[in-house]
This record gives sequence, structure tokens and C-alpha cells, in this order.
Amino acid sequence: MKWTTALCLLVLAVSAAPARAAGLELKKGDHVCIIGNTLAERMQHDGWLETLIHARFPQHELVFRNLGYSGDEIELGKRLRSMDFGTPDQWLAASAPVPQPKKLSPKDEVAENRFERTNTKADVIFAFFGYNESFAGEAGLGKFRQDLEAFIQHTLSQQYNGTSVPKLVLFSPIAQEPLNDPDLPGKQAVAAANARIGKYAAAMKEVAAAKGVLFVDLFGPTSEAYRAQPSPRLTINGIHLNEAGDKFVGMAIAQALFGPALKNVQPPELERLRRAVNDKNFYWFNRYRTTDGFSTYGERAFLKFSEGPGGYGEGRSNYGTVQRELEVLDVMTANRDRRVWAAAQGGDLKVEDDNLPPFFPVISNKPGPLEGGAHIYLGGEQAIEKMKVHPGMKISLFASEEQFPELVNPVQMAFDGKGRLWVAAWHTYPHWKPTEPMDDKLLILEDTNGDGRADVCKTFAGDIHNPTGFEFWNGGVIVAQGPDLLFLRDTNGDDKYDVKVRLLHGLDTADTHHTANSFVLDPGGALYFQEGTFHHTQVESPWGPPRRVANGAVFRYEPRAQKFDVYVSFGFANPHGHAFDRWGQDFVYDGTGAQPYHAVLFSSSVDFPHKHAQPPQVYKQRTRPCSGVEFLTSRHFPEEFQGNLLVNNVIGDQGILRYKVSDKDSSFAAVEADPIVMSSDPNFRPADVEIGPDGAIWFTDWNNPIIGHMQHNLRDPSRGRTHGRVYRVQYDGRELLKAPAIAGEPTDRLLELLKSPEDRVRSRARIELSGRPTREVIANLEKWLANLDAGSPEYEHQRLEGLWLHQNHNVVSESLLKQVLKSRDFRARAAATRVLSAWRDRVGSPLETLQALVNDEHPRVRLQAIWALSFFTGPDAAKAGEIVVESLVHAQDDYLKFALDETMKTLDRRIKAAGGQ
Amino acid sequence: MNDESQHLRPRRLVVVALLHCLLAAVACADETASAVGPLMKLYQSGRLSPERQPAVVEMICNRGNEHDLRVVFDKIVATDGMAEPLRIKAMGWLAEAARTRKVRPAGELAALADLARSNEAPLRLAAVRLAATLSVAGVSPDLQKIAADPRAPADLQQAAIAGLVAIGGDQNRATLLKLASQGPATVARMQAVAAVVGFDARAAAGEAAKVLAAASPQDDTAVMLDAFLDRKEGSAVLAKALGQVKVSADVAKRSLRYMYSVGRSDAELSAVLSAAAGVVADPPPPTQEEVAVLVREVQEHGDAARGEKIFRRADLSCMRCHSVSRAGGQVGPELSAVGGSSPLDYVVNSILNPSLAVKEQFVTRIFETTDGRVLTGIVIDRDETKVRFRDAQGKTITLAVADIDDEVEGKSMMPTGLTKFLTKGELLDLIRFISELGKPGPYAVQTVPAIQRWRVLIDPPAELIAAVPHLEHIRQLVLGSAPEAWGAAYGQVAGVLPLDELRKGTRPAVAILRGEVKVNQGGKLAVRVETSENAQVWVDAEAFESQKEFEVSLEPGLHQVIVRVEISDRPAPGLKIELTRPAGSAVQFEVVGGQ
Repeated sequence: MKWTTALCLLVLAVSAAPARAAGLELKKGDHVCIIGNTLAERMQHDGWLETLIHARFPQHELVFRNLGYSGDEIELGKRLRSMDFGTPDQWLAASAPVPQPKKLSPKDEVAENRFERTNTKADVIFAFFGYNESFAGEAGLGKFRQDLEAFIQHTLSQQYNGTSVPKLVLFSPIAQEPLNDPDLPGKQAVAAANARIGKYAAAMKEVAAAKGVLFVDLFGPTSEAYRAQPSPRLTINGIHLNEAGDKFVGMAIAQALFGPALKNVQPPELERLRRAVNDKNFYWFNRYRTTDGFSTYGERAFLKFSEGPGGYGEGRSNYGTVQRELEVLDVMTANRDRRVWAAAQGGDLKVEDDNLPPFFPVISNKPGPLEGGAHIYLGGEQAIEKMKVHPGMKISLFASEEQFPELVNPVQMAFDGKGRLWVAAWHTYPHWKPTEPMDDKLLILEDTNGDGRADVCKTFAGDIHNPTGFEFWNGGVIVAQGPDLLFLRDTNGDDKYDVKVRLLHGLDTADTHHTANSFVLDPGGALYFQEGTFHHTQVESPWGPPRRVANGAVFRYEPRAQKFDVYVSFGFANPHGHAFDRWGQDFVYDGTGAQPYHAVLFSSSVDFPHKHAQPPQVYKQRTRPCSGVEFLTSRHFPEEFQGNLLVNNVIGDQGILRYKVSDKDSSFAAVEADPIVMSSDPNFRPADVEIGPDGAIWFTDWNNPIIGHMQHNLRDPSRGRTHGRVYRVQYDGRELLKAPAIAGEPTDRLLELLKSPEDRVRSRARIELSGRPTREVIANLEKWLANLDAGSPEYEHQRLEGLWLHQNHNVVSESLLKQVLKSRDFRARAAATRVLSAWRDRVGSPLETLQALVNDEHPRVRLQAIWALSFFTGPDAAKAGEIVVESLVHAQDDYLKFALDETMKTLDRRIKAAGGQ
Repeated sequence: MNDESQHLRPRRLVVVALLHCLLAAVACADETASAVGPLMKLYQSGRLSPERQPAVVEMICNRGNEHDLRVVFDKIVATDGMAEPLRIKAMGWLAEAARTRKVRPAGELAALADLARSNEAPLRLAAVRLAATLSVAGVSPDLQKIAADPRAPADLQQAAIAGLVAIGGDQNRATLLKLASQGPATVARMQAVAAVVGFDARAAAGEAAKVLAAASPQDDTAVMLDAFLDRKEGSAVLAKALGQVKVSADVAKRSLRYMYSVGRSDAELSAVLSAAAGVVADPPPPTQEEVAVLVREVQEHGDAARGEKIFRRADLSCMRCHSVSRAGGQVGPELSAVGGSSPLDYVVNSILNPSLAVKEQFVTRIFETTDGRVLTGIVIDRDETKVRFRDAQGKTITLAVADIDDEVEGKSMMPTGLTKFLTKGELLDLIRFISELGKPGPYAVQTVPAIQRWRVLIDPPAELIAAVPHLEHIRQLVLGSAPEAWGAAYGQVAGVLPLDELRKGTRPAVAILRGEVKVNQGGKLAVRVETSENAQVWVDAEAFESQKEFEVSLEPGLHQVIVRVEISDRPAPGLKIELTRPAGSAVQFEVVGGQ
């Protein structure tokens, strides 16, 4: 029996069960608003719930607006939003004033009510809460009940539609799905989670009954569905529904609220209706979750610019400009409501969008000197004449928009296992304007004839939005599309993606210049990206309560296990740039001021809402801002360049700076050396830099006359959207490296590449291996490790690579970890300490091991151990606190002192919160 | 780690907890758990060598509760409890704990009085400071004596005054009022006035007005003005008192400039000082039309060369906060490339209406404290106990969260009033100069490194002035001099140091200058000296005297380029020293900039 059939039977079983809630009566024209956490948010993308209800009530012409938001909880304080996003009540009532009306320009023509056309005005509210709250466990139940009661009371005292109290339906969380996946929470953990979630579901039911509110239990039906054989797989990670799960839950809800369907709508018709629903939801999602919110309704919305050459002035404000775009989206959404109704009624409607309010034109405050205010752009080759390259090096153009017009605003780049260059092209910068195509791209540039110039440009993805960063993984690519993180994969080999999964939700986009950027994998296989101030992010995971952070962070995400954490919580202005060295030590840059930080100093654990203090810097920067960094390891370059840090700089100096890094006490210092390249072309903006498979330095040039977010209207026509270049820097007279074969190579050959001195080669080999079956990789790896030459000077590093590859595949090897922790090279010991921290829940006596490590003879290892001890919670926090002070027996330096203080602060807070036990 | 230790640990814990309680001499029962239990254990364990003790004591002071601090306190006051340098430091840490965490050693603290009478100056100073912070009443008579003693060192006197304020009481306040109302406009009197602001702002304002009325333009009244500016409505009270006296135009100007330079333009004080100085009151920010007119006028009449001179004028304080070519203040943005990236009216607004739009890393916060002070700065970081921020003078201030009454977002720290000391023509020149920075031409970002930030020996000894000194004098009197002996001077954008600026005032016609080069990779460095004057050059203790171009081999590290220059009366005397890497040299270096 196919599992889909099994599911249908299950749903029938559900409908027959007495657990059915008293029916919900819908009236013609009712507005249904869906609120809650990621369970609710994801429903708009697959659309089954809306589709099934429309199918049941084709003549009702219902209006659905999904207000779900990743990480939300009943308690208002646990619904983080960026400034003036609008309160839940304002959204439900479709009523919100202009946030700072006094700052508007006389030229602004704005509606008094900025939500006037949202069509929310809830008659009915579907509320999906309880999953995130459930992490408070037994102890949190009392508060949950109180919060829920208060929420019901508040909701039922409102008239969001202006005339009557809304009908409220509470939905329990779904049960966590036990997945046969060694990387996700195991059977026991899922059972424990469900015991916890079940209690919250039951509490909701009781409170709903006491308050006379409709309640739909999703916990029971999903628990039952998971038990079906063959197992249906309804979620992507145990807690977030995939499309099949969305359909199942949609059906369960429709059955529970409305009983068995009277009429059987045929699948093709249903699918047509669902497409109309999803199309409507596309516009709604981009309205509700508009990116650049801080400049659309937040503080910078009220900057006004001069019309014509100048700076700030009395011309239109950002608010006056982009609120209109939101109104356009409101109307486009409403137009598509009508198409949904037509489809539900068995017909169709061509959406004309001929009723859109007009956009307001923006006059540039920095027009160029050419006709019509156009700016002067140098050609890709011509621009080289303005570049001063390091003596002995030469620079050449690989690709430009002159040849490939789609190559515009290249924000990040990376080489794949075939040696092809991928570039994220951000055409809609600073974000999509409605009515225009949403056409940001992931491009693949190839040099098929080996002449050093790209001759093919393929569009892997042509319909993405704000791709502020990406990285390869598991045969596909993970790409930012704030507020989501996507996984795209091509399964039929045509170099176009055909699989798209939304992996994460809730990454704030208040300022797209500050949104998830600088994607980088650590040697252990975790992915990192960062965001700047103004942002308020909430992300859910099956491993623990939602991770929240405000105003600056670096994130850590394990794609295999789907673990998500705030890696650095620090008051960054806007971090850009993150790189790992050969031994896994990483530097993070605050891009705005270009301050470099050794990440171990401020990536110890800190509990929201606390943030880290400012650590000592690696060096004192002399110019700003930084857009991206890379360690240079390539035998193509002479010895003196190995391990140099390359730092892109885009305003004060325009070029790629170079720093020599050396150990200093427990941390690092760096001193500046001659830069790689400097340009006198004011448009030159090196955005990303990476060492290519040929060992050369590759970089993208955003090539734009204006790049400030704040100094010009968001829609200033001078924001270039037509240029982008890729350049390559080689060392004259030295052979380029032969690009190693990676894609499709046998596993044992890929393992040999882990001996490469080039960081990027090892990284690309690990990425290729991320798509191979774990069993095969680990079996080969054991052999490879056994055959290593223990006498080689590289032995310590190679063994560490073996450890890291275990981590990449989420396979704990305690014996190998122990060996590397005893390595004669302190850098290997420090790196293994980091691995130990990641595995602390799966190895024996981690605290005792760390006790030895805080007493290590090398300060770097002690520093890493101090860092690692910050992650212990519960009764272990006090033990970690006992151990960490032992580091004071040894020689101190500024870094150790800082790190110890940060770890002790976190442990103290946990100990205090536990009641001084 | 063997099994045995695991069994041992709980027992050890109990012992340590007992020990801890005994040491703290209090009952365990009513005490909340201390965060530094493990630290105390370590401190008492005997595992710490003397050189490791300071870090542990500091951490106990930073994190411990009142009983933990008492243990430290007892060690300090015991004659053989701690090594002398640690004792002094530990007193500083205890003071810091009291200030920023509001935690003070438990019990009676009168034992500090003995230390406050110590003959060892550093020990005595630390003890007086700690006594002041902890408001140890028993030391009042000592503090009164020190405060009134004209021969007491300035820092000790200041600490004593702070103590009298903290301890309070009629007698101490009377002492302060007396100090504030007597004698000439000395630093001590101004400190006393500043102290009185804390408990009787009106009386303090009356005395301050008298001090300012009697002051000469050379007197530095910053400490006194700060006290009023930092106090809620303090500047208004001072303004009222100033209305009753006659302050000379120059003193008024100096005070006004000082207020602006710390990022303030309080209306009342600005009005009364402007009237006394004979300058116009603060104009409102320009309208868009006025900006447009200014932009046109700048383009037609502004002269960047004249503008650079204005930018460099000490009375405008531009370079207190901003650097160009990496030399100058570090509070505001570095301006080397600003004209290249900012349209002209952006520059106009940044100068005349700086709070119109503030970039995220320059957003300020205003803190109102429970004791009535108002402080402004850019937050560095914060936690549940304290906030650290950088103020308009580049100082890092740590404020206890417990002391904060209210906090709001502030405006830009860029002062708005300073431009009123400029004529219209000067303003146009200044804007023109800023707008040219970073554009191709004479104000482009410099590509050949030159020494931009100079140190100037404030009071050069005769041996260096009379004739070209020999190497031993360079070693002793230049390389061996104290950092405080030097002031700062900054090269122009193009790298030339205008020597006539050094000739002014009481400076001698011979100037001793010093620039710094940080060598990252050793090798030969080429030095080129460009000057209209007689000048001699040394690199560290190697003499090149009047050579104009030479090479020098330098090891990695910090190196001094020393110049003795005889400044003549010819117009526009200048000095520029360029540093380059000669062909074939492996040297990598940075010229040191900053404040």
C-alpha cells in the first residue's frame, strides 16, 4: 500500500473519531487570519489548509491571510520583530498609523492607516502555538495556561473586523515525527519530546474547553499518522511539515472543523486551486515579510533625500516611496483572492492587475554626469587600468556583464567540485520591487576552452530573492533568501535546480545589507552566516527552544543534523567576513568598521538576551568597511603569502588588503603587508574573494557608484543594477595549479585530497564527500587513517582532518578524538577541543577531559577549553565553573582573561537562574 | 582523570565551602551562593604562584559578593597579606566593584584609615581613592586635611575631594564649600566647585561664575564645566549664575568652544556665553533651500587650501575627533575619503545639522543617573551590571546599571555650534575642503606614506635646542623622555607639517619632533625629507642629520623618526617626511597614525 493511500485512510479514521471539535461556522466573505509559529508560517507555502477549506466552501469567497512567524509564542515578549513591524493586534485589525508621521516629507503622499489594504480584519483566527512553549516542560505549564487564558481573553475582547468579536480556533502543536535518520533526534529523544508536547496539547484542550473556545487537536492525529507503515515522512526535520505533511494536517483540520466533505473535489481541480492559493500567498508573504523593513517602516524609513544632486533633503522619504509598493502588493494579493474564488468555483480568472496604485518615481540624489543622470562605468578590461596590483602579480578579467548581462551585483561566489565558478547575482538589489520579475540568480560560469575567460553562463536558479550568501552541501546548494534559508538541488543534471526546500525560517531581513551573509563552512561541516544590527531573528529547531537574537549575530547551522545556534551574539554594526584557517581557528569581521575579531573570544555560549562584551581585536584596522575575507593558501603563490589574510575593503580604500597573521599569546596578531590590489575607479567594490582551484585569487566586483543603504533612497535610480565582474589575480612567472578532480571522484581519492596544503581544496573535497553515503565515507576514512604516515610532519594535521570528516558526517569517534586531543601539535589539540564541545552530549566525561585541557601547556588550548566550558548547562554549569578557574593557575594574557570572564558570566547566570544551587 | 578524583571532589567542595565561610567570618545560612567559590578555593589552595595571584584577586573583585570582597579587603589591610603592587591594584579593583557592581566588602572598613595615612605615596593615593569610593566615614579628617593642603599632589587632592563628596555630612560639605569659594582659580578650587555641584548646584554655580569672571583665557576650566554639563539641568543653573557676573569675551569663547567640543550645545549656557563672547546665538539647522544656496556658494567661492587651515584650527576642535590621512582624533569618522563618497549637501548637513542621519556605529545613548548626572556616548558593550560607552572625548566610561535612572537614544556627538566662530567665507572654505577629501587632486587619499602624526616635545631642554645634539642626548632626552612630555601635531592631507603652527605662543623657534613607524617585516626603508628649514634627522639612535634622502635598515618593531628643526621667519615653513620601500627591499611597514 502506498503511504498516500494509508494517509487518506488515516484521515478518515480521524474524522470518524469522537475527538472532533464542535464545528466552525464560516460566513460568506469571512477573513481568516492564521497566526502562530513556523507550523503556521510554512502553511502558506504549500497551501493545503487554505485550498481544502476553499474547496469545501467554494461560494464563501473567503479571504485568508497567513500571519505566522517563525519562533512565535503566545507571550508577546516572545514574538521578536524589527522596529515598527506592527503589533499582532494592528495586523489582525488591519489598522496601524504611520510610525513617525512628523518626519514625513511634504512630498510624501501616504495613507493614514498603513495596513488599510491588507484585508486582514480578522473574522476568524486560527492560532497555532504550543510547540516552542513546550520546551519549558512541566515547570512551564502553569505559565502557559495563564498566557493562553490571557490571550483568549484579549482576543475575544477585540473587534478586529470593526463590528464583531472574532471566532477563535486554537490548534495544538503537531507531534514530533520519529524519523529514521541517525542525524536527527533519536527514538528516545522524540518520545521524550512528545511526552512534553502532549502535555501542552492537553493543557490547550483544557483551557479551550474552560473558555469555550474551539480547539483542534493535531497532536493525536499526527502521532497516529507517524505510526503508519510504511512510514509516511510528513516533516523535513521532525517538527516542520513537508508538502505531504501540510496536506495531511490540512485534511485533518478540515475534517475536525467541518466534518466529512460533502463533495469530492478531483485532485487536478484541487491542484489548480492550490496553485492559485500559493500564487496569492507569494504576494502576501512578500508584503507581510517585506525585506528592508527598517527602511520601509522602521527608523530609516523616515530619511528624506534631496531630489537631484545632494544628500538628505526635502524630497520623498523612503517611507513615502516603499509603502506604496506594499499597497501595490496588497492590491495584487486581493486580485489573486478573486482568482482563488474563481478556481474554487470551478472556473478561472486572468489576473490583470490593472487597478494598482502608481509607484512614485524617485529622483536620484547622486546622478551621474551623463545624459539623464547616468553614471560613468568603465568596461571590465578598461577598469584593470585603474587597478594597482601587487608587484609580481597580474590581474585578468574572467567575466563581466558585457558578455553575460545576467552577471550583475555579484554578492558571493564559490567554486564547485567541477571547478566551475558560481556567483549569486542580486539583480533586485536592494530588494524586489513588485510587478518586476523576482529574478535574482545563482549563475554558473565556465571556461570550457581554457583561455582564462568564461564562455558559458548557466542560470542554476533564476527566481530567487536577495541571495545574500550561499554554500554547497550534499550535492546541492544552501542559499539565503531572507527570512528563509533554502536548499536547492539539481537531480537530473541539467544544471537547473528542481528541488527546493525551505530549511529555516525567521532570519530577519530588516536591512538587506545586514541580512544573512558571508556563508562559510567550518572544517567540521557546520555552516555559518551573519547578520547586523536592527535585526531580530527567531529560528526553530527540533533540538531545543527557538534561538532568538537581536542586533547582531553570527549563526551556526549543522545542515546534516539541522541544529541551529547563535554562534556569536555581539553588538555588531554589521558583520561581513568570516574565515577559518588551516587549523580551524576563525576570524569574524564587523564589516562597517572592519574590526577583526578572533571568534573564539566571543563565540562562547551566552543566553539570550545577553550579548558578549567587546573582545580585543586581532589588529587595529586603518580603513573601512570590509565586505569579505579569505585565507590565502596556494602553492601558486610564493611562501611569504601562505596563510595571509585577504581583506576586501570597499570605501576608505577600494581593494584587497593583505595581512600577515601570527600567533600572539593565546590568540593572534596580524600586520599589514602590501595589498593584493587597489583601484582608483570609484565604482570598484570587491565584494567576495576566494582562492580558485587553480590557486589564483578570484574576486567579484560589485561595480556600483553608490553602495550606502542609508545615504540614498532605497529606490534611487543610481543604485546600479546592470554591472558585475569577476577577476583573477595570478603571480607572474609561476605556474597555476592543476585543478584537482573532485566531482564524481571515488571516495578514497577524495580522502587523499585532505592532504592538500590548499585550504580550499580540502574544503571542496569535504563538500563533495558531504553528498556521499556516510557508511562508505567512514569505512574508507578508517582505512585512510590507518595508513597515514605517522612520521610525516603533516601527520597531526591529517589526523585532525580525519576527525573533522567524522564531524562532517556526524559520526562520533571518541577514540580518534582522544588521540587528537593528545596531539603533539597544540593547534590540533585546540581544534579537537572544539570538536569535543560539539560532541559533549555524546562522549564520556567531557568535563573531566576539559579539566585536563584548561591545564594544557599551551595557552591556545586553554583558551579553547575555557570557551568549551561555557556550553554546559543545568547541574553541569556549576561543575564547569569549578573547572574553568583552574586556567588561572597558568600564565595569563588579555585574551584568556577576556574569554574566562565571558565564560564565567554565562555560567554564573545559569547557576543563579537555577536558584544558587 | 582517574576514578578516585571523582570520589574526592564532593568532599573537597565541602571543605572549601567551610573554609570560605570561615574566612568570610559570617554565617553560611543567610548567604546567597557566591559565583566565585571556585576562585576563592583556588586563591586559598596554595596552587597559585605570586605572579598568578593578581588575575585571581582581580576576578574575585570583579565577580565576588560582599563576603568575598571582605576576604580581599582583610588581605589588603593586613601588613603581610599581599605584595605591595598587588595591594595597590586590589584597592583599585575593590573601588571598581563598589562603583560598577555596587558590591562592597562586608563589615567595618575603618581599617583603611591607616593606609590612607601611609608615607608611601602610591599606597596612600590608592587607599584614599578606595576610602572615597566606599565612603569610609572614619577617614574624613584625613581627607579634609589633604583637600585643604596646597602642597598635596593633585591626584591625591582630587581623590580626597571625591571622598568628601561621597561621605557627605555637614562638616565635609562645609570644607568643600570653603575650598570652592576661596583663593585663585586653581585646579583644586575648580575641583572643589565641581564637587559641590553634586550636592548644591546653585552654590557651586555661584562660585563657578566667580572663578570664570576671574579666570584668564589660559586657564583650563574643563573639570569645572564638565561637572555642570554632566549634571541634569546643571548647565542651566550655571547659565543663570553667569548672568550675574561679567566674564571676559575670551574666557566666554573658550568655555563655549569647550562645551561644543564635548558634543553639547545646551541652549541657556550657549546663549549667556555667546552674549559674553560677542558672537551670535545658535542658528537653527538650515532648510533645504539654504543648503542649496550654501552648496552653490561653496562651489563658487570655497577654497580648499584655506579650508584646510580652518579645519586644523585648535579652537574649532575638528581634529580632536576626526582624523585625515589617519592622523587625528578617533571619536568621529576618519575623513580621508569622505568627499569622494559623499555629495556636497551631505557634507553641508553633516556639519550644520549632524543629527539628521546617524550611521549605525555612531548612534549615541544618553544616560541619566540616579544621582542626577546626564552622560552621553556610543555604547561599546553592556551586561546586567554595567554599560561601557565612549564619550565625545574618546574616553571609555563604565556606568553601573543600578545607577541608571533613564536611557534614551541621543543625537550625533558632532557639535553644531562651533561653526558660528567662522565667518561665512571661512565656512564655505571649510566645507569645500571636506568635500575635496578623497577626490582626485591635491586632497586625494595619499598613496606615498608620510609621517602624519607627529609628537612635539612640549618643553625641550636646552641641550636639544642650543645646538645639534649628540647621540647621547638623543638617547636620554628624546628616546628616554616620558610620554607626557609630548604633545600632538598633525600633517596636512598632503603630508606637510606646517611649522608655523608650532612657532606660535610660548614654543621655542627650535622644535623637536618625533614620528613613529611600525615595521612588520625587516628590511631597508627609504626616507625622504622635504623642508624649507634647517633640520636634522635621527632614526632611533642613528644620526642622519641633514641628509635629505637616505636608507636605513630596520628590524621588525616600533621605530622613531626624530627631527630637530629650526623654524625660521620665512612664510609657510613646512616639513614632510616620506617613507618608501626601496627596490629589492623586503621591508613591510606602517606609519603610525591616530591621536
